[in-house]
Amino acid sequence: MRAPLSASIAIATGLVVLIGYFVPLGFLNSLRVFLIEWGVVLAGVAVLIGIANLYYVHWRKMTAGDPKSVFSAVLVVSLTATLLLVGSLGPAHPSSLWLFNYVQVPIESSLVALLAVILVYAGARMLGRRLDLSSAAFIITLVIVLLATGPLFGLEVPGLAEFRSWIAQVPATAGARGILIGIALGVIATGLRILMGADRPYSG
Amino acid sequence: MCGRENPAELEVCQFCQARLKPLNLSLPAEDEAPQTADGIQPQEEASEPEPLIVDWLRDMRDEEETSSSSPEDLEGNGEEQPLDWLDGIRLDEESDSESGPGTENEDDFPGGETEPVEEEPEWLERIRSRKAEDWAEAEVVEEASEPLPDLFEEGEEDVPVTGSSAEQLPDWLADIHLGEGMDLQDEQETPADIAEPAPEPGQEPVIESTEAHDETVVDMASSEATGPGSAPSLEAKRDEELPEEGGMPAWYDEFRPEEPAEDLEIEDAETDADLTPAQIPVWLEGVRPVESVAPSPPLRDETERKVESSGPLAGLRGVLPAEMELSHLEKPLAYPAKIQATENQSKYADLLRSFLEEEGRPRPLGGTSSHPSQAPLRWVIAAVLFLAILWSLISGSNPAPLPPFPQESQAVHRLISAIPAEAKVLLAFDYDPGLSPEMDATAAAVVDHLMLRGAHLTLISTLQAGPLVAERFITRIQDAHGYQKNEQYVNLGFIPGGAAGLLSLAESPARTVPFTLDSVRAWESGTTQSLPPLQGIRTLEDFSMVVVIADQGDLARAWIEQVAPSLDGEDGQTPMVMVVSAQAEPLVRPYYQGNPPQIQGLVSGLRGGAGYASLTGRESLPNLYWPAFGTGLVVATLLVVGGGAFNLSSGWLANRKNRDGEER
Repeated sequence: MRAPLSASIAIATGLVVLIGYFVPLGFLNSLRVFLIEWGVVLAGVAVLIGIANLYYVHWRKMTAGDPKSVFSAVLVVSLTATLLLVGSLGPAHPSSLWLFNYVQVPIESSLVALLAVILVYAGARMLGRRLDLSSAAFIITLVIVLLATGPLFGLEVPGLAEFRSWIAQVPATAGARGILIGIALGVIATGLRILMGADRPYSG
Repeated sequence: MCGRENPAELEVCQFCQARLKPLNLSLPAEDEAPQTADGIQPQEEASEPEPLIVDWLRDMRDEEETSSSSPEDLEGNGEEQPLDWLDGIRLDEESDSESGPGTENEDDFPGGETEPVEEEPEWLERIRSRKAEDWAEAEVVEEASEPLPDLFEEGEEDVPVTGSSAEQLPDWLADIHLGEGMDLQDEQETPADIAEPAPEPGQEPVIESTEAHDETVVDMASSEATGPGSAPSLEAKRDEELPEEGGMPAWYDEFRPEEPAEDLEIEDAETDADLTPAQIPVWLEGVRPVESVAPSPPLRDETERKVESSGPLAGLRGVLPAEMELSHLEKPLAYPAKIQATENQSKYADLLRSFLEEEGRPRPLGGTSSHPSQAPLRWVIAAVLFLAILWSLISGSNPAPLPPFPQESQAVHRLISAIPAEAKVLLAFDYDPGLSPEMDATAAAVVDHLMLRGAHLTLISTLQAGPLVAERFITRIQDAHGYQKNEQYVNLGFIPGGAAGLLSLAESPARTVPFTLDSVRAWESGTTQSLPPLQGIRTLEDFSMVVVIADQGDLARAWIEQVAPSLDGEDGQTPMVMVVSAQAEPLVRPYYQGNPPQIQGLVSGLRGGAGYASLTGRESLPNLYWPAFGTGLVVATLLVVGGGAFNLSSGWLANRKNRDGEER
């Protein structure tokens, strides 16, 4: 009983939004906007539920005496402190911004900076593990792009910048176009399957 | 035998008639004194042999004497019941003995003379008749195949008859073979005295039935019932009744059972001629075993040779064991519990067992080559990169000029230069705090240009941390312009729902984000006016420009697909400009290179930001990061190339060593 009802609601909503997108009818457009606003509200509530679930999971880990519960404890404490601080002062308060500027941004930036070391290490080991045409092409392209992207201590290598631009605009863009077309086709197919009731990602 | 308790004075069980006390036999001599009621004389007294009287017979005699004095007592015991027949015999014999030598001592017989003679049983009458006729023809039984009381059985271990004792035995007694069962308790008795001569070869051993034997004994007992005085009469009686030496009593012929052919030792035809063939019924002939059918001789029952060693029947042969076999229990055979399997079967079973054991056992992983830990190498790479960049920042040893600006960046510069003063610009900050260093440097020059133009900025984001990223960017990166919140810029916060939120924003911005990040009503309502950055803004097309700063191609694509169609207005299309990271450039460039283009400008990566900065000519983050950025890139390239070459050469050398080793 529940499956047909949810499927009918999902299909009806999708059809209304889709038809309202192409057919500029007054009531249909209003209904479309109304349904989309409901979707936005539900998405916001889903974010709150996700935060609550995260809090609950780590709280249980902390109270269960898990060997790695210290990390859960840090998360719970940080979440609680941030929630209390930002919730009471506001997100634009200087204290909230201080917490963001001097805690969150440096931590996340440092984690992303590790990526540079890991990529260099992976590139250095690639030739030793697997040497074939694709890996060789990859290494050559990598070297050219890296050297052409930044300044070479004031040195000008003729054609290097143009070659780098050509790589970025032609082969890379071509590949990206293919990816985008594939994404678009996939989105169309997935949407049609949901509208026809073949896929039901909303069912429990 | 039956295991029931009996009074101690009894010698025979009152229930099963088994003997309770061992039998004491003594060979009587011809000139022996009259036999006493005690039984057979010991062997030392062989000079005075007594008539053959078995203990039970003597006991019965004693009991009769006792019962004669107190018949009521005897009757109560129940022992008298089987003696009724004895009384009858005795009375007959008394009548016979009156004419014969000696008189019987009636006192010796249990039961007493006062008891009336009862009707004789038929079988007894038959015996008497046969006795008179065939007594003279009866022969001594040398060996019997059927179980007979040891008293009258002859065996290999027979005690040889001594000359003196044999001469002293009466004829009738000499004919009767005592056999091995005459092992006396005190070993003083002389079974040899009463041993009978072995049957001559060719003679058939007399096989007496137990009943016939009892009758004979009864006859003997009755003849001796008179006590000591009756011994001569008994002897006389025996002399009369016993067949001549070598002959068989007539009554024997009547009760002679089948003779096992294989068990016989005497097969001479002469023996058959001396014996009267028995009248065997026809049905008995039919079941008579045939020697040719039974190739193997029947098993000889050796139980008769077994001498009882305990109990009242000690010394007798062929009697039922007094002690139950349970007393001689032996430990049962311990049958092996091991399955009797052949070698092949055991081998297969072991193989199956190994398969089953391996099923639950995790397969050990193959031996991995012992590579040294790679952590030190990563530490070295990190240290080299860090030191190179830090050195470049501190020393400024890389005075790298800013790169040339590309065409797409020039288009952005052109568009921003064309917007009017205090134009309303929607600025979207869709990148995470982790990518702030790159994106801040990329977008710094663009936003600086906008702020130089005096544009009112409306900050918005589809990421949860976007509003704070935007707030940080405006207050810290662009703090030189001194923009005031809700005056020159307004932060509308976070739009949930991703693409759906952008569509909702495009449809109705006021309903989608009605409040600012400070919970201040941003849009015009009935009572309040909208904030200055949002004055005159009802839809997105009312903005002068939309600038999207994103680090991922998907976010940029969502903005392009959901918001760009709603930017077409009557006054023209509101331009949309993208400021993306270097990794998102390939996914966003097609929208710029499309026809018609869906975005009007593109600034990608630190190189694009640096190039835009060169357009504006203002000092910004790209100017600070560019030399260090270049040094880092060169060092990274060198590390990749050098490390790759090293690994390649080491792998080649290792393979060459292995190849050489294999060739050797």
